[in-house]
Amino acid sequence: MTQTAKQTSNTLSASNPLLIPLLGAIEAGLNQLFAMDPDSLSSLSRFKGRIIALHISDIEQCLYFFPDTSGVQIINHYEGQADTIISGSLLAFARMAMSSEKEKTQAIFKGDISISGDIALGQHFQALFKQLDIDWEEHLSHITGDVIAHSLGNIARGLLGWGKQTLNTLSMDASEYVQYESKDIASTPELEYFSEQIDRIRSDVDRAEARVNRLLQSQLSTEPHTQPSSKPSI
Amino acid sequence: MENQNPSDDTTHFGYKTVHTEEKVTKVAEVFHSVASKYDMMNDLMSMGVHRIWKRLTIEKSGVRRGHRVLDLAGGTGDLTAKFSKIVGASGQVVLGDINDSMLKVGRTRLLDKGIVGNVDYVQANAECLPFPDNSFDCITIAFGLRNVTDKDAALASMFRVLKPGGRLLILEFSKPVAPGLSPLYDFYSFNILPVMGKIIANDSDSYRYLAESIRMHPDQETLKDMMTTAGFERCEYSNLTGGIVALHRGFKF
Repeated sequence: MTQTAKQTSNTLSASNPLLIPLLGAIEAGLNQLFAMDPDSLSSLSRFKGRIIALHISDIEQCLYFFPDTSGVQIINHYEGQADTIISGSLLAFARMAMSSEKEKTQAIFKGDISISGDIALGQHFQALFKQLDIDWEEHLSHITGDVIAHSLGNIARGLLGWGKQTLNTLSMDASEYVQYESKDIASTPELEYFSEQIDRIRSDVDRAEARVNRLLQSQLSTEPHTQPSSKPSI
Repeated sequence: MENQNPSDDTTHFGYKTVHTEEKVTKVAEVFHSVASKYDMMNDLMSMGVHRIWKRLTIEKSGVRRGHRVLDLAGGTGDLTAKFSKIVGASGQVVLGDINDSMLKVGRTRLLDKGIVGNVDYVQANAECLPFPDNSFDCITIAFGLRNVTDKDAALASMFRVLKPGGRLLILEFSKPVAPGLSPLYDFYSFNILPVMGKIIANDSDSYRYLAESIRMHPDQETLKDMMTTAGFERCEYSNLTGGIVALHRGFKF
């Protein structure tokens, strides 16, 4: 589906002076990352001439991205129309940046993140950031030489692996403690069972309501001349 | 005429009084001298803040896809590079500068960055712009009006080539308004700046001229009045960094 994306801000006051230095830093950081990954930079050139707006709904700010072969330019205030608008709260964007592909799709279907205008463009632009793959070791080797860069790379990988494992263990231990030791929150199977019970009760009540309605209808149709004085109790 | 003495045909070049024709040559000498180190000196002198001032100019320009933009006194092309991405293939940006050294540095820099296709380069005097009436959607002049001999003629010329509905943005050094800033700024301008110019660009005179020319430039309200006199409407300005720099904006209707 392609539709013209509406501009989200068209007044001068929409430009936030406090945001300008931050935008400069974000733009420089992003362009540095793209410069370090030639594949992503060449993918970026496919978006040349297109305008992608990121609308952060809770702080009512819009960032406009102008990608081209040399990187991306970001401005806060644009009076024209963007080709696509990706809209959501700051929290939703943060969650999306850290979540898996499946959760990203769920976020879009749940309505936390919405894309209007050229939807395919919005999705491809999102995917571009995911495919950023920087060979830090290669860049480091230009300064330190291959041997030191490789050794530092091994140390970094080891630390990263240890960090991830420690974080996983810590997170599992913490969740086990609050679920099974202190019993402050319910475990996932208990929660799922509880949700199933609620669903079953809701279905049972719906069925009972349908049955009562059917009985009332049949009673009215067999006794056309008599008016019931009050609703029968269930 | 704001800074020109019509009776004896003189004007000021920094704190000196020179013949009107002489100013153009002297300003040209300054920029021929600093062109190669211009970007580095800008970063050093302003501690990088000039990038934020220029970003604000872009934000307030209202430029969009398909627009025609004139970046006057465009120097090394900072604003042109950004406008080029915004106007896209259907738009056009003209980088104009009176100084051919600056124009060459700007053109080389933009070509090296791969900014081609929608950028043109014109060596032009702001007082008599070589464009038809109603040609541009937006005109910017960043740190350039100060060096123009006849500012009223330049404003009138910009007004002529601007399309109805278009806007002019003037980014220029101005009069500090933040309390206590003036003495500090004066000390920096007259003592530190020329020394930096001597060390980095081997040219303290040009940077002394910079400090002096800033003091001789009309203050915020005077420049706003000059814009109104030239025919601009809805003229307003924002003080940046305590008024060290001001961004003026006016529309042609």
